[in-house]
Amino acid sequence: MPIIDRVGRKSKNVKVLIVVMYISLSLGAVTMVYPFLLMLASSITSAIDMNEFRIIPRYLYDDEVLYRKYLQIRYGSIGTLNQYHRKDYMNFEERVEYKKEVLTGEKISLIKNWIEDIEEFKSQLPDNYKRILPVKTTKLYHEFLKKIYNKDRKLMSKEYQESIETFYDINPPLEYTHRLWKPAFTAYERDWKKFKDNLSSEYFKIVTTEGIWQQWLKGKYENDIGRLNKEWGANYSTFFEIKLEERMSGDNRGKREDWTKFVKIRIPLHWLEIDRASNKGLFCSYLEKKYKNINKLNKTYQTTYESFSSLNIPDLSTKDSSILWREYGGFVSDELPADAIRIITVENMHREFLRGKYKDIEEINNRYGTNYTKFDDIVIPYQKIDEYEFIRDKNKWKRYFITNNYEVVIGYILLKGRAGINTIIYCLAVVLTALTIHPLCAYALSRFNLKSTYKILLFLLATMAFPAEVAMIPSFLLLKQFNLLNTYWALVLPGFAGGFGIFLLKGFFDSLPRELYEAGEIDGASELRMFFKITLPLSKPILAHTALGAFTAAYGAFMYALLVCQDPKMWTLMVWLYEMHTWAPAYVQMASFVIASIPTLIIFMSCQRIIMRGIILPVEN
Amino acid sequence: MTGVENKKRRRGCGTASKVISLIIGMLLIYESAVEAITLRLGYVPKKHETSTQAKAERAILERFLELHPEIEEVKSSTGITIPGIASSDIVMMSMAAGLAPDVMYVNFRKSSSFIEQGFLYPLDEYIKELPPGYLEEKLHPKLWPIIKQKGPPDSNEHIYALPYGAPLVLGLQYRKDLFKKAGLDPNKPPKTWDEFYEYAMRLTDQEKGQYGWVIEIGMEGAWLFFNFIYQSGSEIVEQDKDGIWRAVYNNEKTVTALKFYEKLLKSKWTKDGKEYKGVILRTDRPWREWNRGKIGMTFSYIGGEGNVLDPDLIGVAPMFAGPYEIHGTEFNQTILGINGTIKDKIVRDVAWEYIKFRMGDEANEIVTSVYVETGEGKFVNPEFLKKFGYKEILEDVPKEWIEINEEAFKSEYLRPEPYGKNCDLIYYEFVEPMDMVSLYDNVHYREVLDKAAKHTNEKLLGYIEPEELKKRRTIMGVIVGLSIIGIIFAGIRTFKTVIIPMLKESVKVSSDERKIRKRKRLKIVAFFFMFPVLVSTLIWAYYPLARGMLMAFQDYKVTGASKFVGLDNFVMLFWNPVFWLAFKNTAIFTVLTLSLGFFAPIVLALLLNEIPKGTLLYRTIYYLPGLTSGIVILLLWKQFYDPSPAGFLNVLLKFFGLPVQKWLQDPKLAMVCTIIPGIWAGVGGGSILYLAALKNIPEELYEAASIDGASYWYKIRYITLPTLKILLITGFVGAFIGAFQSAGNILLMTGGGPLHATHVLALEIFYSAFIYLRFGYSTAMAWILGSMLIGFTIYNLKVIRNVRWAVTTK
Repeated sequence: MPIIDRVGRKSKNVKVLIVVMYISLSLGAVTMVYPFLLMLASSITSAIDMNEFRIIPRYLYDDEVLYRKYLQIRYGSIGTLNQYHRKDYMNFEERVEYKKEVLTGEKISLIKNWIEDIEEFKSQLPDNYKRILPVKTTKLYHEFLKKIYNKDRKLMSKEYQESIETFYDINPPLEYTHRLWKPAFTAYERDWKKFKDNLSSEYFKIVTTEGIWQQWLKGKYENDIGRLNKEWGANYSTFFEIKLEERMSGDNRGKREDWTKFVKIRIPLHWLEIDRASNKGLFCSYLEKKYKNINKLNKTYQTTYESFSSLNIPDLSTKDSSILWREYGGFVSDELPADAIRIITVENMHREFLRGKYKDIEEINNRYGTNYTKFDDIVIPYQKIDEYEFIRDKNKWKRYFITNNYEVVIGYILLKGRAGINTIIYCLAVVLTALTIHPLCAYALSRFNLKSTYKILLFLLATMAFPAEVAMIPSFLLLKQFNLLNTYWALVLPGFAGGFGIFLLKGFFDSLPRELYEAGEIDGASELRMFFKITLPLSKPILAHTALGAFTAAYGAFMYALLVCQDPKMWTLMVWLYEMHTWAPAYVQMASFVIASIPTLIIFMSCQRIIMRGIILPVEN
Repeated sequence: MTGVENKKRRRGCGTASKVISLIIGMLLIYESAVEAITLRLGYVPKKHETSTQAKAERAILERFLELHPEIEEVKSSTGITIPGIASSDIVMMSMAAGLAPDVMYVNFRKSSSFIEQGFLYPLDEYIKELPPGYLEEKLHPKLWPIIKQKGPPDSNEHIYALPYGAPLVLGLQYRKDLFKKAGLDPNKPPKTWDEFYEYAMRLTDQEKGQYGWVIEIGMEGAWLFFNFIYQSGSEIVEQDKDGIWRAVYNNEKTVTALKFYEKLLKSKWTKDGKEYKGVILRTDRPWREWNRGKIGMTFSYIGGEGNVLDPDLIGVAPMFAGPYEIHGTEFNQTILGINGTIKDKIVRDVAWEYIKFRMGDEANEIVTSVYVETGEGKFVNPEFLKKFGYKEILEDVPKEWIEINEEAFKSEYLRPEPYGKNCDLIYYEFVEPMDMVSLYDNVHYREVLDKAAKHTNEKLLGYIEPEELKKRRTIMGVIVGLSIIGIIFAGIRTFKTVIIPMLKESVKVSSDERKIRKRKRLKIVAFFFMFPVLVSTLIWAYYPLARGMLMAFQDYKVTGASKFVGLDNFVMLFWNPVFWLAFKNTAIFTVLTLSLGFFAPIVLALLLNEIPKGTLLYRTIYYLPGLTSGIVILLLWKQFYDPSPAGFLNVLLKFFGLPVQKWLQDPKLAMVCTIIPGIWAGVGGGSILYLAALKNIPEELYEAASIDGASYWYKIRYITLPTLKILLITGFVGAFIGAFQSAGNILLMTGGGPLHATHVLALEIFYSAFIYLRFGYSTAMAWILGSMLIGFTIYNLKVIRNVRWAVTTK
């Protein structure tokens, strides 16, 4: 009951006091709720807007922010975005060009024409000029693996020749990115290829060759177009005008050198084309010069060639024909004259494609609403397309950013590890202990009036005096001796010794009416029956209380759970959460915090009555 | 030269032969001569890992397995990192758990401890197999003293570990784009301290959060700073003629290094009319800032692969020189040893085969080829590219990198990371001088260094003058003697006042014949009911206590051969200032926790009890944070405490126009900061208990008092308080014991720093046991902590003895 009585409440001073109370309570309430809301809000942000600390993240209502986030997901690094958009952005955090204007009917149809043609072009494009968009495809990939192996990990482990713990462990391979890339011809890559073949073209993006070329030149000339013009004897106004020609051309030495270096060293080999027949001899003599003896080469590559002249220029069609791919790389960069090389760029292929599809540049200008003078000037307007597609799928992307962090956490903790099952088993076992073993002992102490009751209680309680650290190391060694480390027993068994809980229960059992037991005895009920039929039902509140305490302790246990179960297979949710904290970005962590709070939230909601009503208080005897 | 692809193909044959050998093995199961061998490595990469380093490691492993079909399985032994502690440091636990890898990765600074503890197996018998001169050719001359040390089994010199890969030396890494923006020539990195300062200043743009250089708070920072000491011409440690290692950095040369560090951190300078302070950033997450492109220069190892850099963006240079033209820098290399606790000779042999293979040319060749194939060939040590015939890649390597690689190793001032006895502590002890200089002005440099060196030598490197030791042992003996008398005296008192009354409360037993028979039966039932708890208590509470008591008097070693050392553990800790500091901190922590954490729920309950409306709403809101569990709260607040101006709490402060704080990094604030999250989460839950008790007070009591004209204070004093008394006492004692023993929160939030400001006893126990492998010492400390609390525990028992627990219904 309130200390201030009803009469006192009417006085002015007390009224002021009560207002002050409300204000301080409300201020406190804000400090309680605000961090909580912030946690929720941050859990749906990404790297770009993480540090804005808004209760309502800006991208939910500001499309420009959403667009930057979209570009970051789509292109990954700012460098790649610059290659496609032909820009010099420093990062995603600051503004990027974004036209807010609503696209009108006509403009939309022009862009749609572009997209339609690009999709058609994409469907004809060879595999090595397309990249998979990582968003969403990883999930599809795992689903695909699960399907083809019929959820049988053993079968897959056999195929892949290594033990696979879960399907979610498998990452897609890195493809086509580096100079000497070649397929590995393993079951893993075979499955990956099969998966890709089933994907529709929306999951792919076209590579850019000219973008890489322009950024490379920018790096080389330190972003100074004047220097390049001087070297090349040209007069470009920006780097973005420079096309990558298929073959080395022109008389300028600087330009020829740059082209040669870029093509020989920077570009993946599989984008180059040389005349195999006429250069075979050169390739063979290159290897002969390098190895001198064919046996030396055979030893290196575990092959059985008879002579250098029986070698062919490698290609990527089969495993055997690709063995000497690395040598081919050396051959191209060291031996082959630059004018024998042709680089197939995706931009030129695109121009070629348009040439075949439309009869002249006017038709194209009409279709796209552009004003090109020749085919060679055509550049795919990635920026416009991105803007259009973004506006079209705006809500989809909003949804994606809201759910993505959660998907990462669930994928990593619940699906990859055994965190869920470990935590459930651990918590259940601990709660069960608190509901059976401890009450049973307390019952024995309370009910039977043993002479030694207090001696036993003292025995149980005395070790409370010593800090856990004294016993921690020996307990650990003991667990090891019993071979219990990395088992559920290690988590549960030491908890059987629960002095204080038993003391609390005994005190409560003492207060139960004796008459009930006497009646039970008269009916001939066994002690165990009385324990289950009389004691437990009457002690619901205190049992719920101890069980809840046991659950919270087990669920939140971290250090101990990690020390006795160092094997990741045995980690509980909290240990995984901590492990994630060591690498995951803050926004993913926030999502993991929210997820970790859900079980406690559910338990507390369902036990609310018990927590708020059946509170156990010590009363002096 | 062998390609990876071919290996993968031939691996198929390896598997087939494995399957066949397995079948044969099963057929011969009764006379099984072929035993399946499992080899545990620190890290086993999977095939589908995409980083080049993982791919290279995988390729090496596959080739190794191909050569050794007798190996059935390669397992990875995993660990977890604890804040401020590298995973490789938690060796003790994995050793004790039998989870340590068979092939152990060894840090230079840990080498002596590992050898002394018997973690490493002497390799002499295996080294005999190697062709003469092989090691001399392979090993960098600076490496010998680290791998060849005195140790078990006979205290003679043995080789305990061997290196792989290329030797590493610390160099300067810098961002060319930031250089250009600042108007610096990316091809001319700083060559002297003065230039380094000048460059750092030009690179700094504090409004954009951009700095010239970055240094981590704590041990990592000390590691970086040691290079300045080398450059100043001083050494960190030296071995005297008796072979004892001592810290020797307390000299005027190191003072110049410290002064230079202070200048980097604090000197005032102006740009565009604005005044700025400092040209470097001191943070707990330096790599995050570097990766965000906010840092101009950093130190990084040169020589190894795996450091994949964009040559257009990142420049590399040898370390600059100090005032005396000394280009001092750290030398390091990855070294591997065989786990000394392996019982099975076959496993040991296989572990050796792995080390030998990893060190050999074939492994290096595989690494090089994998890097070349993934297009990262230019990041491999140029020596390897030359050796294995990748001329074309060598041309792609920036010329400066090749030169640097040659130049960096030429320096006559290469210094291996300190590797003598207990040298893993050397960074730890140096954190203090660095924190002092960072946090305070007008520090007496020499004094700070002398103090650090003294601690390091005396307390950590285990060096005490013999006479002094004798004196201390005597004093300790007296102290222990007195304590024993005290404990016995207190014990008798306790026995009289608490235990005897408890025991006396035996129950009246009926003498009825029939009932006696029944009692006998009941006794058996009771025993069965109590059996699981009694046995568990004996095993999990009493036995560890007893064993712990023994350990406090031992120099305990997990690998066996623990010696009794009498009172030496106690001697060591009583003369260790860190112990006393931790003791003081524990007291501060306890007082703060109680004054904030104990009273907050009471005040909240009183407020909630008084307000006429809205109790339920407020109660629910205050309960909300308690719904998340422990570690979530800590990690959440750790995010909020981000000390950068972009951190949440700092953004909040700026909003109210207040100066930005360093939170957990500020020695004055750190302690409070570690306490607040717990209170935030616990105040709601705690108040519910008190609120229930307040509501339980019968209304009539207050009414009667009101009629008598009693004041509020009277009501609180004579009605409210007495009702809450038991709750308050048990709550207080519980909270006190809890606070005194608490370590978890601090470990996760600050790890004891800054400047030992949050270094509490329980944490010191944890560190000495699990990081510095001194179990005996740490158990001794745990006993002292326990005996300080025993009085409170007994008092608590005495109070709750008279208590009944009742469920409130309101």
